[in-house]
Amino acid sequence: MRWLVFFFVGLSLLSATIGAETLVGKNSTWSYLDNGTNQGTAWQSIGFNDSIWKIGAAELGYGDGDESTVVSYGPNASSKFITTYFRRHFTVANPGLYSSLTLNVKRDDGAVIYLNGVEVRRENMPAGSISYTTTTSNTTSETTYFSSTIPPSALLAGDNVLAAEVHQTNATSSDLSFDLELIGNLTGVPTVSVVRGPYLQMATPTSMTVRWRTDVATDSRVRFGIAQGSLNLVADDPALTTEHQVKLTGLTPETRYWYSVGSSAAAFSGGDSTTFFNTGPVNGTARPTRIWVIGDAGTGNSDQTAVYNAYRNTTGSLYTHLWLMLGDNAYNSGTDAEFQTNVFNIYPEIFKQSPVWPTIGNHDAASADSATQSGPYYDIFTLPRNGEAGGVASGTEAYYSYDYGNIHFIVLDSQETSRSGTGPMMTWLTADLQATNADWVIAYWHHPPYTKGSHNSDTETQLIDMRQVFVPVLEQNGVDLVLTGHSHSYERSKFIDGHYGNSTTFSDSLHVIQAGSGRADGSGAYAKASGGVPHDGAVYAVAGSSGQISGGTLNHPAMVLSLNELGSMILDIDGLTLNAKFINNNGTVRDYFTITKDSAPPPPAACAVPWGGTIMSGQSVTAYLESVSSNCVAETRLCSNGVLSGSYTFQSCSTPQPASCTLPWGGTIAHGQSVTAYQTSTSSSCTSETRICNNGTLTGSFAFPACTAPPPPPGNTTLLLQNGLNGYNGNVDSYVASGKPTINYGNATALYADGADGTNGRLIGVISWDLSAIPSSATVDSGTLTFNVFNGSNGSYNVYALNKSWNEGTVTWNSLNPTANLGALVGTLPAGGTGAKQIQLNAAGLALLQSWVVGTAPNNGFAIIDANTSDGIDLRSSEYGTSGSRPKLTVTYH
Amino acid sequence: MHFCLILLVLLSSPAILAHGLIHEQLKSTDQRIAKEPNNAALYVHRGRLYLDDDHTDMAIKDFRRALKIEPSHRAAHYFLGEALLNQQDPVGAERESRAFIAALGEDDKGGLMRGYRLLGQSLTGQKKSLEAAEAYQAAIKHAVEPTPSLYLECAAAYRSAGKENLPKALAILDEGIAKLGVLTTLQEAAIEINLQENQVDAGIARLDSLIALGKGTEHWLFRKGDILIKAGRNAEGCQAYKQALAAISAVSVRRRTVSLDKLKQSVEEALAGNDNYNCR
Repeated sequence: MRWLVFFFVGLSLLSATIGAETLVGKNSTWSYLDNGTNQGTAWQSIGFNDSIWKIGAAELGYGDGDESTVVSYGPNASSKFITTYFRRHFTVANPGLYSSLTLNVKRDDGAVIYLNGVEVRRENMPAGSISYTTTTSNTTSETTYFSSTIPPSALLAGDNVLAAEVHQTNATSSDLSFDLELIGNLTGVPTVSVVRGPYLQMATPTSMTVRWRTDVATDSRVRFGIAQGSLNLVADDPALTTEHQVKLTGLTPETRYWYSVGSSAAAFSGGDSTTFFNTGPVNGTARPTRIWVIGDAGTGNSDQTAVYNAYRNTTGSLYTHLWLMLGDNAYNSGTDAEFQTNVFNIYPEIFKQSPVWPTIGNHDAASADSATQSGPYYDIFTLPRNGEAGGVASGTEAYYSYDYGNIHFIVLDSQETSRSGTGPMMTWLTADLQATNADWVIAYWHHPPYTKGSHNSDTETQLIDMRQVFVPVLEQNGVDLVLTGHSHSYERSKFIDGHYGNSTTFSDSLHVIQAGSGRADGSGAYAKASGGVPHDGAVYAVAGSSGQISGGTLNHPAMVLSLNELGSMILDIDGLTLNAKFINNNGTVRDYFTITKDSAPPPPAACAVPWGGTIMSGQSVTAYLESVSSNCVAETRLCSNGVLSGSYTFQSCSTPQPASCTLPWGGTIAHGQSVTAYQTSTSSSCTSETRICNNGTLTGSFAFPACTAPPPPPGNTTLLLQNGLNGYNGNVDSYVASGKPTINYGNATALYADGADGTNGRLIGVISWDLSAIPSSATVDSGTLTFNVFNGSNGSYNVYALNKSWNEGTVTWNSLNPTANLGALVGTLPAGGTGAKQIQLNAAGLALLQSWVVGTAPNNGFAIIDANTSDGIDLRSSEYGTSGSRPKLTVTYH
Repeated sequence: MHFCLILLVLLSSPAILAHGLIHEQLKSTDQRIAKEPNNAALYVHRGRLYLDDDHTDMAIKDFRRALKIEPSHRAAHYFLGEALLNQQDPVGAERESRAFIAALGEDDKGGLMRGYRLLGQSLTGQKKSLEAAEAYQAAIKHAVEPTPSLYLECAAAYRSAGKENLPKALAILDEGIAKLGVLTTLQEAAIEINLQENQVDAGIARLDSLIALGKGTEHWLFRKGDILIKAGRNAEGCQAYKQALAAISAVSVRRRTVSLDKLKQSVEEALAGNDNYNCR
């Protein structure tokens, strides 16, 4: 029964009559004259010039100690001024909208009120003419607002003025009080009350969701603007409902918006000086941020109210940017009525000013269900399941994340959702942590990983799960602060990391990252590196005493401090400093600590290189002593934070070009290149030699570029040997690299050859074909190698017989020692071009094939070697995906 | 309305998880049972308290006692099924979940969702994967606001039911994505199945949808590179690695995290390790 009484009392206190607009609010600013002069009647009119009067906020007066503005009673306390004058202008758009006006006046001892020069109310004043010496009829309460209804006929469209003269009962009266509220009651609108809210949800830098409940279904309209008296913007929802939810979009970050809630016909609530919110900064922007944190608060008792009042008194006019609820928000069972009585009725002021971000507690879960996202908790709160407020989308309101400035908040469900290390909440958390690069990561949920309060983290499943499964992942990603409730106490940990066992396994030497209380004026603030450094320390706080205390042993060894006291936490984050404190229900700060982060170091300076441009710190370049030299001396110049090592200044170096050679059959070859020359142009043996150009002189003497063997007798056979063709799979190949002499490249899909690769040194391709398909009695007539070149060279490449056996899967530079095991030159791949390239085996090559067929020599295959060029060639290998591009040996025999 | 009623049945009991420590609540319930020994709801309530206190065996006794007194007590069936599943008795859990479902009306959507989910879990425990998947699908059908977990459990059951059911696993995940949006959890599960089915392009398209969200882009690009390289699409893989590196470089030094630095190192190693694909 008692809760029912609370419910209705709370409802009536919070109700605002629909169709009512506040024209002049309580605590408004007034012009006043407190010099004891006789102002006659002119001061009552709208046109009176009161610019020389003083200005002050109501309550105005003296003698009671509760005045916002103290007025003067004159020089003599025994002969105080009898009359003090007050004036306030206000604007009305359309006086015809109002059926009546409600005037609520606090006046000690009496007053006469004028609206635009017309007397509309006389309070505790005698009848008849009133002068500046007229005293009141008697003394009355200095705290009561006396209410009366007055006709709206004196209202004007546009500027209006209220004027009030407050009279004392005698010249020695001890006090004077004045405040006034004028409400316009709208015509033709059914009486509707706002019975919940307004309250703010899912805040982002550019949007805000405003929710409220009415007792009669109406459409929804939020009127808002950046000046209190100018709510010139609207956001609507035409659906008739009692559960109103309107999202304001297109807002400007870091801006205060005043608002009212109502229907398209009228505003029901707000529009006054206390109904506003601030949008947050653009995500990633550091701004001073005040956060209020409560846990296990929703008891509805005087303890809860005391904790709230203590916070309000502490924070004063400092805006609360975020409000966190750590679960068990409404006792006993999280029903809608309990949320009304124990939550909405308790915190009306902060609800309409600061967005609230809750997590679910076990008592909330008694009426709500995360599996179906149903029940009062889920109905009441609008939470970001699609990453609307920053963070990765979770797909559920049970667990979610959001950003505010340079802070990333992670909200977990430790009650209803699977706490498995492979469950969706963990999968989401991992992705969310990876995606954030905020300066601060704050996580909160209901069940504490470390507590010895009214719950025990050594024995209770949810608490153990959260510690063992989720805390390691959060610490791995550099979490800074973890907030929980459940135990009805305040317990604040040391600056710890890596403690996942029972309390008996906690060890300062193993788990405390930085000793001390974290108090800047004591042992010093906790210091962390910026940038989400893993396992760099975090503070774990239990703040579950915002509505009750329940004791416990309160002796968890991880804690700096454990208090069986009512209270709440305040977080103030400014850039890279986080200040936290716990204030009790009397407003006394009972604990405080600071975490700081190093500023990110400036990026290391780049270095200018001598030939222009820059390189980043840590990068290096090759520089040459001279631009033209026979030996091209080089050095590596390393950039280290703006300083470039070494002294060589040339980006490249070329050697003097030696003379080329003229070939006997016409044309030239460059110095160092070679050609195969034949003794005769037609011969069955086709004797050849390699002629090398050495600075203009060609070695050797053979003078024919080609030699043709006599036509083979009829009946010869052509065999195409290519992996994948006609079931053949006898071609093996690899390449070896002098710069990586122990690496095998047998699985590579390319064959590389290069005289001097910048990374791998000299590259030599090796290849062989199984010739067992050719009868040993056969005579080889011709042999052609076909390679598919996909990166051509401007130099030529020679093919030699290999004199050492090798294995595709193991061959390396060191195992083959290729340059020491070359046999005869069997052909040359000319310079230039890509695509299929053929090499006709010369007489030496044919003799080699013949010896392999007959079996008089081991088939060690061929080597593909640069003819003194450093421009590499890239060929498709036998592993290449397209079989038609693999190496091919064509053999004709009879 | 039925939805709310059944939730109330499931989530409430006569004294509805009263405020205070569990042991105090147990004591008070004991006293009430002593006065009303034939009140089935009191046994269900005490059984739930035992479940919260990790005394499943005691909870089971109370739920059975409740059913002996009132065989049609729906909540008793449900919680007994849940307790039996905790006790590794999926056969018993299946029996109780079916009894619970049978006691519900078609409009009892919340109850049906929970009942079919419990049935799915019971069948999964018996390795009856295909039946489990169908139970999960029924749970999804009755869920007013299905969670990612439901879709994941359903897809996992289809996946366990054999290769021929992989398309159904994908379909249910896609249904979840259509309903809940592009979620990391659902897309990652779908990508695994795509890769199992050698549907590289489909998996890449899903990754691209995650990349398009602009959250954790660097990590998804790195994953894309890995998948493409493994599929032999080396040039595209290298390109994805390079894009990952560019995305990391685009993060201001002020916002660099250790996690991002480690990722950068991994990307650079991947690029170096794939030298022969012209990744340099």
